[in-house]
Amino acid sequence: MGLSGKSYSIQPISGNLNFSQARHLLDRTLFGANKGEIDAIVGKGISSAMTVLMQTPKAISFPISIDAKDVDVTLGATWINAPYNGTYNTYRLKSLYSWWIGNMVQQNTSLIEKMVLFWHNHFVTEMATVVNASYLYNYVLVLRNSALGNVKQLIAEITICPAMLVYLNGESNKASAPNENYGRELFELFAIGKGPLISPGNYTNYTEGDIREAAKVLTGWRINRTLNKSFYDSSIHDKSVKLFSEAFNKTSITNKESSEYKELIDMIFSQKETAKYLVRKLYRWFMYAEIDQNIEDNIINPLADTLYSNNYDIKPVLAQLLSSEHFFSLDYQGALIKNPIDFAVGIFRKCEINLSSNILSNYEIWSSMYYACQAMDMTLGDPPDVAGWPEYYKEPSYSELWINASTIPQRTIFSDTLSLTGYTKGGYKYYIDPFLLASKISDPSNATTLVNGLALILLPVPLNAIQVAQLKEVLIPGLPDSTWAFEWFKYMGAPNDLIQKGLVGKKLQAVIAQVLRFPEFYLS
Amino acid sequence: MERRKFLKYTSSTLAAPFLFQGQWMNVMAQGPTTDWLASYNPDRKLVLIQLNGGNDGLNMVIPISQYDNLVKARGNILVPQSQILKLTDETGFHPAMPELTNLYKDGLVKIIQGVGYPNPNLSHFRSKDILMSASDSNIVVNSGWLGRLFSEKHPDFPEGYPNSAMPHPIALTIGSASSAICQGELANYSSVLNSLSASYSNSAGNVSYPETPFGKELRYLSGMMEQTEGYLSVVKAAASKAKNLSTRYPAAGQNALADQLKIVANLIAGGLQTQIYVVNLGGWDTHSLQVGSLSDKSTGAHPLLMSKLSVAIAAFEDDLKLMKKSDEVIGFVYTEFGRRIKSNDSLGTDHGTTWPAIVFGSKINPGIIGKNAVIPSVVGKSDNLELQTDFRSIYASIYKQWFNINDQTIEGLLGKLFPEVALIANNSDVIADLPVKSLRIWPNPVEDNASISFTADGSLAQIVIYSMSGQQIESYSPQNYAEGYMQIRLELGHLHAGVYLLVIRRRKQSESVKFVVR
Repeated sequence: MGLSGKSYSIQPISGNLNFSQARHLLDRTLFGANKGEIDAIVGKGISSAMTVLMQTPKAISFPISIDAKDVDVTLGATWINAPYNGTYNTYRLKSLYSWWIGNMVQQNTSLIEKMVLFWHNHFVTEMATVVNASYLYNYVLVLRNSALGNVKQLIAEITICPAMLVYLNGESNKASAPNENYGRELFELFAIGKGPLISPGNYTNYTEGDIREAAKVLTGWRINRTLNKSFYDSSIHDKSVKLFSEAFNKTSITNKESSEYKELIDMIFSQKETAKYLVRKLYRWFMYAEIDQNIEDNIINPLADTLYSNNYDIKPVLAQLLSSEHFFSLDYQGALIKNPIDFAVGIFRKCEINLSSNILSNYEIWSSMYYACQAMDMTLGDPPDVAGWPEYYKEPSYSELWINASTIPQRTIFSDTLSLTGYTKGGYKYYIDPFLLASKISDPSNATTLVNGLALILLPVPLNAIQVAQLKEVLIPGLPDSTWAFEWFKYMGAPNDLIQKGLVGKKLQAVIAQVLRFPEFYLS
Repeated sequence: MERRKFLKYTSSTLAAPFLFQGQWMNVMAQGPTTDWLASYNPDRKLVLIQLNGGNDGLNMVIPISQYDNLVKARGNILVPQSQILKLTDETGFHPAMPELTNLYKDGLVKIIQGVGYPNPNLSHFRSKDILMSASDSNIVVNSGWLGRLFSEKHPDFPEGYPNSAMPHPIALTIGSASSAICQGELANYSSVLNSLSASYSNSAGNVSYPETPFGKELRYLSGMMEQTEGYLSVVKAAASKAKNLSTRYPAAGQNALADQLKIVANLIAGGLQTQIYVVNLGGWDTHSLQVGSLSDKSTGAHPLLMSKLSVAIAAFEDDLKLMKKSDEVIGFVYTEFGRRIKSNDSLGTDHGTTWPAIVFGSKINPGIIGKNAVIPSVVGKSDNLELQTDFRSIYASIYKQWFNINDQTIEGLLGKLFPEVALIANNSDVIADLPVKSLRIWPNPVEDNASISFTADGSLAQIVIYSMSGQQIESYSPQNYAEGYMQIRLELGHLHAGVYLLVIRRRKQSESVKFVVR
């Protein structure tokens, strides 16, 4: 099973993964997979592939000081424990987002990095608002530590982390002057989601009154700006009894001081609707934007049951979705438009671009990737607002919103640069080595095998006949296939002949650049 | 996305719900006609300035008459009365907006007080959706208020666009994401431009798309790639044909709104025929520190934003004047909601309801519509300003007074009629000419032939048939029809299956009606 065009079954696929199934699974769960990574799970059953994806990720290093102007921290040492400094903070923020991109580029076969970005898009904070790099590092760490853990644990930590206290005004939420900002988004965006407005101030799943009561529960949290940590201050906590609406069966929450907010979270998460809301977001992240009644009934509901019955542990629900016949339906393979980070990091990973031994150069290329993604309309650390990127919630276009007359040229510029010229940072050139990619193909001397082999690694679907002809036209314009075989063997016979290597390499580069421009490469 | 293909495959189970889902389609099917095409003036342009986050309008358009009670409600963020820039004895702008105050005094600014909608929603995202779609607050409509208009005129978009009849973008968002305002039933009509230096070339080789989610997205991407190439070149050509003339723009990077409006002015001066331009200024969600400090309430985040708005509009208007394009352009400043009357203890304001709209341009009928809100001496935390004008009244007025769209069409586009506000000066001559619609065609869908009827005015008239992509299919000789009711039989059996537009061209007022051939 699993090869049917369109399946609405949540049952796991049987049999062993073939190459295109393995590629589909890894391209969705990693930031693109290279040939070796795909080969490593080909022939495995789906459950052992899940074991690999759920493994504890490899240890990561700390973000380091990358600018000598930050005199508080030695160049190359980590800044995470250094006191806040308004002047040096800019360098540390650059280090932080570069480090984050670097973690994605260097990921192993684990779901962790895709899930960290998922949670960032869900529990949004914005660097531009939070500013303090130490708070933001702490925020990313909270996301990482629970990315594959438990959602309730994660939201509890997020609720009181300094970055969120700043971002949604939790620190100015006091008994004497409640600030509803976090309370509102907790309901609307972070947990249960908004239903239809059924009467004034009543959004079905919660009410304006619930927001006001939740804001009271959430009072009392402040930030110690020396230690970069949050702490509980009983004197500003609202100690009254908080009364919730019928949506929560008129629950009342009495004063529990510093643990009270966890009771609020328990209350919201005891609603099945919260599990459904979270599952729909996971579905849109890993699967496809459109959820019709069929998918709601056959996919979303059983997944929500799994999430709920496992008390919001995230691994069982992910395994169920990613193992399902539905996930492997051919109709959905290649149906997800890659976001800019998936696109940019994916080129690095799929084409196996080598990093430098100089860590500072690597931070520079990761920083360049951050800016490239920003130009493609996705700024890591700075979603456009608290709802996250509209590509994951905005009907009816969803991820099609990534694609427009301004972002397409930006994607092209990035892929062209890596395939044709490379980016040079700190004296090191980051580029797609066309011979390395060609070496992954069974017979690179055969022009047809060569272009189809590149597509097998880079694209979610095989080339059509027009594309094969088009790529061969780039490789050997107006010439017979034998010309390519001749030139290729000439290079193989004398690999140190740099002129011949350059000749063949240029042709390969032009073909790779064209494959990366195909609309299919924008899809996963 | 592909109307023609849809019509070929009407039995497809995939295509039908895709086209007709949602109740708006039902409203659309009965309501609008494309009469406005005939009276459409291609020189008229609309610039939409979106203030993202929810503007504290009470701190922008200040009711001086209510000052004493304002002090009680929001003393921690209120500027001293002496600093308010008076527009009338009763009402003034915040001191951060001297440029806009001067424009007001020059008769280029209209302010509409208390804009909002019934049963307000205080969520940014939902309220923005309501503003974009022009729906009632309890109905979700996915298309935008201008997107629906474009869906009528360009139902095949983006297939076959750009083309010789419509070489320029239908709408243009300056930024990097298409505005939801321009979301049509099937496609977003706004092209996107974030700088004039982007370049692109593509050679996607796709020919067939399966009817699957994969096929849908691949087709979308391929279409966008081709379209991108086409529009960028005309936009760049327009940009290179003219230069900004005003010296009042701040240096690039200082004022994001001014940077965007500068591009718009450049393109208009260069002859771009695009009629809708969408620009944005974010940062208005001022829950805390909207003023710098208790000791200086005239500076801080909100005054800075207001200053940017004021400077940007003034520079833009100055530019248009120097380019002699003032009469072609109006601007409309809006936000998703206003903020509460009472400020909070974080020197900020929380989500509220109504807000003041600003419309500007040399063709504007200047002044203030609506009255100052009455601020009671005791204001509760959740108290809001009263609703005076539904935002859809402004949309309806723009449709009618600026784009000359008739009431019947407006009713179809907005779902119902809203009272107009007088936005445009001296527009009565144009409006008065709009007759009651008389053109009919039956049966519809037509078979081999059809009957048409209309009211003739005694002058020369010509019947023409267009495809929905604007191509002329058939034209009959112009004739002097006798005044009064006229009925004619047309042979239409030779037309291919599809949707067509029947137009009767007259010197004074043309009319049109859509019909289907099976």
